Amino acid sequence: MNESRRGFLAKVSGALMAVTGARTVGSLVAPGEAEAYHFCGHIYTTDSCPHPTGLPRIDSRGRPLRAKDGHRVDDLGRLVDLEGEPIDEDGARLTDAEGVPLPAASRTPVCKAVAEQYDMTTHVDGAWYRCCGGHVRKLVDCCSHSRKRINGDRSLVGYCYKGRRVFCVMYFQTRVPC
Amino acid sequence: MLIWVLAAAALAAGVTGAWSPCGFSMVETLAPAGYAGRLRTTLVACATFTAGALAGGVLTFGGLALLGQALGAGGTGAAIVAAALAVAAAVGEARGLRIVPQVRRQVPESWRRVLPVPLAAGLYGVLLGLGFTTFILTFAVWALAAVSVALGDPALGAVLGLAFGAGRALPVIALAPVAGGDRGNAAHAAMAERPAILRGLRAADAVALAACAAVIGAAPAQAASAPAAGAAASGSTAAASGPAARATQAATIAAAEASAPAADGGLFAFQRPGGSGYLRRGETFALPGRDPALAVGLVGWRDASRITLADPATLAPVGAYDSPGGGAFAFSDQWVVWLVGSTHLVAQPRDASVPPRVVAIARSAQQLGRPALAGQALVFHRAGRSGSQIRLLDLATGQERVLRSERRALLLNPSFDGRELLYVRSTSTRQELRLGPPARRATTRDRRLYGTTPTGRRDAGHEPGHARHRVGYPGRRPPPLAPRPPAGGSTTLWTTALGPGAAYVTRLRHRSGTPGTTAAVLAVPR
Repeated sequence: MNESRRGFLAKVSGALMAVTGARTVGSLVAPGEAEAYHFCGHIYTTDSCPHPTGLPRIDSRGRPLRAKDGHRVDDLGRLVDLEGEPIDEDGARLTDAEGVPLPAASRTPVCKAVAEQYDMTTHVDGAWYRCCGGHVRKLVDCCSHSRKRINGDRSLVGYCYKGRRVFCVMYFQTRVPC
Repeated sequence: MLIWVLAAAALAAGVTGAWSPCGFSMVETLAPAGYAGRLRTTLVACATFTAGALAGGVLTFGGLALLGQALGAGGTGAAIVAAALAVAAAVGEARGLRIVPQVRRQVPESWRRVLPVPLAAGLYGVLLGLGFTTFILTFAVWALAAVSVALGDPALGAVLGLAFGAGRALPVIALAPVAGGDRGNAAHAAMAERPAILRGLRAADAVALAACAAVIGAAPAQAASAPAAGAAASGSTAAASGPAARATQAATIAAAEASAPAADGGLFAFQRPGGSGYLRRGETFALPGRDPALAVGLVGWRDASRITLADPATLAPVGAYDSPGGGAFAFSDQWVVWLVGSTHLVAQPRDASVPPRVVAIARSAQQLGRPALAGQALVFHRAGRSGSQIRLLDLATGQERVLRSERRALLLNPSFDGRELLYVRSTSTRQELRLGPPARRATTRDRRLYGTTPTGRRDAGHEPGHARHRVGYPGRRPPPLAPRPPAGGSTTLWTTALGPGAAYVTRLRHRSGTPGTTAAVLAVPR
């Protein structure tokens, strides 16, 4: 009877220790979905990089995508096809009144466009990933040596390297579910 | 047998975890171009990360096995439950179901900034190896945990943990040293943009789990009779897996259902889309051809491949030129220039003393615009994916120069009267009609006669459920958003004309789901 009681107490104390350990580990990790500020996953106070259609969604090469559906857009915010030609919502080429296709425009990586617009050197440095809308999202900083960020106030280090600081932020929505 | 099957399932489950937010983040964090700063540090960090992941795996799965042992697991009933869980998880994996329950937590991002990278990597490795501290990408993690408890074999649990930790570490240490390079970028893009890879891994998890279940199911007696510690030795364990526009000046409609305006003195001409040209001289009447042009007191039109210049009062021809394949054209007192396709400009002297010759060719993926001509000065646009320019070509000397150039805007369809240049400037925030001198300078120095919404439609600048970013801006007032065109269509400012009292521009409208484009010519006071 005593042995059995000791065995039970040992199990209970072991379980308590396990729970305590789990709580300790749990206190180390952070929420994986961040709902702060203007888009999911972005938990700092830096504003978006200028983007042709607003929200700073980019593709894997940093070029602009329309946030709501990930469709390619050019620097004018027009939907474009694989060849970069402007199209409408149904995928038909945009034309003039005589049916002649309208010209293609540039499609500049968003962080590079920031460099041109603000006359500075920019780098895409580090990134962090979070779960947003059921898919893994890569939060990407557009970094520079500017002491001010796009908001106009003091810049933060964020995910930038080598003394650079965050000028503005972008994101890349992967197709990986989470 | 079972130990190998379980180890394989655990390894596959660990590798699948690389597709989690933390898995991606680790590759970025350990990359030489990142916080590590150099390859040597990356390699050291990869080593500590691996050690941490292995330790974390052993802690979790070994600990769960210890828990199972303490609870007296390891019997037949527990093995059957483990096998059933493995089957359920395998089905979930095979069907690619969303992981439930999910752990919506992540490792702390700040460690990589405040700790030496190898130390941070080791700690990150521990958290990822633990398996349940961050997002779970496969049901196998849950199933393997259940199996560890059910079988109550610490040695087997440790093996499971090592295999899981190795699986978590492998993709990270394989990708981090090459991250940022071409191969690394390609691998990252494939991971992020090809769901088939993750689906394939989950299918592999399903196979491994099914194998585990089969092995457990094939040896129920062993699982039932062997003591917990002996179960592993006899190979009878179970695994599971699974994972609008505000105009600068008011514009009026000069001609509805019209495009390609032309102006000279008191004359105004335009093209009916798909029809013929029209001349307005007090009253409006049709011309015997298309693509009307006006200059030096004459009117011109094109009939098939022949350009005719005529007296606007009588339409009596004063000259004619063959322009095979020609489209829009311009003429002056000295030259006639026409566009072929959107890629060639061809010129011929008005006196036809020499045959036509190509004077401008579009480079790859470029488009040349409608020509404008004053004397011997030809003005046209070159537009494409590398930016756009308005260029002036002296047809007599062949000298060409750039008058306006922008990389991220379209500068379109200039008109030129010899003194001033009118053109469309289109950006993501606005479309404008600008007027300036025929000398090289920035577009922003030119006078803006008219402005409207951009062709593309922006979003609200924030996601649903969020608000526009205000923090950090003076007075918490972010810059105003650009005007937004109505949904479901697009408006494009296109061809221009420069009259003595007004500037003209074609407004193209296209509605999604409807064929064709409508057009109207707007007039704006100069």
